[in-house]
Amino acid sequence: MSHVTRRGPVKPSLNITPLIDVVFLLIVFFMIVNNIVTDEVPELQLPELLDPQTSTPEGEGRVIVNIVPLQAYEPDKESGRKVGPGNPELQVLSRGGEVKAVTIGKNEWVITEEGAMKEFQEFAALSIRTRFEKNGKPPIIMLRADAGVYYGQVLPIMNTLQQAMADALEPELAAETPIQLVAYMPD
Amino acid sequence: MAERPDNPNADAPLEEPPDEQVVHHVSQRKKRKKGVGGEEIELNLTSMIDVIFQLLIYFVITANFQIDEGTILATLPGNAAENREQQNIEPPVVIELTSGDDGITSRLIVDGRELREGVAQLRGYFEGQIGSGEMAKDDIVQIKPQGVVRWQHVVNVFNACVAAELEQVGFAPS
Repeated sequence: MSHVTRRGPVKPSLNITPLIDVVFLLIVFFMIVNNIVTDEVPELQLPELLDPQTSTPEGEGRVIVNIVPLQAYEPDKESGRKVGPGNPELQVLSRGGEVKAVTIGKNEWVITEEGAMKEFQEFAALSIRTRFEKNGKPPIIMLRADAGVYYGQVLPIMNTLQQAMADALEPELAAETPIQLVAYMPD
Repeated sequence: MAERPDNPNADAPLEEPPDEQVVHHVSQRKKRKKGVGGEEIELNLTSMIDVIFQLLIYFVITANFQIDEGTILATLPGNAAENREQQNIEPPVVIELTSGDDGITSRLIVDGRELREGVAQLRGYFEGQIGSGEMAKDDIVQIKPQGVVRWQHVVNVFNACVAAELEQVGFAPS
């Protein structure tokens, strides 16, 4: 027995399933990457330089030390961004220059808390040592401080970082290893 | 012609449906797929795609991957002084950085001489010193900022020294 089927007029249709798959993957990718970037480098107003000589550091292994200010910034009226290049200098520098915390990756130490700097030193030393053992050379140590903070508040952190380097590396190697000051790149 | 009653089955007893009219089972999935009139029900994805594209565009625009950041090599406080003692060489050139009266600007004093134009003058000053032979590029330069000077000014001074091709720039020990 045979079936005879009668088809009506064929409606053209677009199969958008793979398109949706790809778009979803892209969204997930950007969401995850955004979170990773924010964890590693919190939003700070970095120094804007006159005739910048900045460059992108090359090499393996990085320890990024962030110095976060106590007072947050208001969003810029034009761009809507809270921080970034081109923010009015007055806004950046007229705020209080106190430091709130120092961070490495997701780890944050509020500097006014007791024992925070000791913990920071131990963690920094561990991070430097781990990367040194992995790569056979000292890591790139980046100091990423907010443009508005006082030097007097950054100095103890730099001294602690130096102690951490001395703890993690041989004395000669620690003395020879520079740090990298982070600022905005030229346009 | 015989008279036809209004309802011919009104008085007739209820009859069993004939065997040919047996209703076959239709699965729930097929029932759902077909509407009342037997038309296929389709999911309208247009609005969802609109929202997804909005999200995608948002994440693409807001992701900047921090490519606008760069670094300058620096020596931590103390290291330059230790090196100087070990090598027993001349005392370093000291750049003093003090805060202006407004707490925002800064004043720049190099080896006891104030540079009135601040950091904009610093590069030219060092290039002049090197050109006249009073300084060498490998001379040790130490930046000695006051505690209340903003980090912005400190890094700008550092940057000017690097721009003048000075090779040993560091922070003065505290």
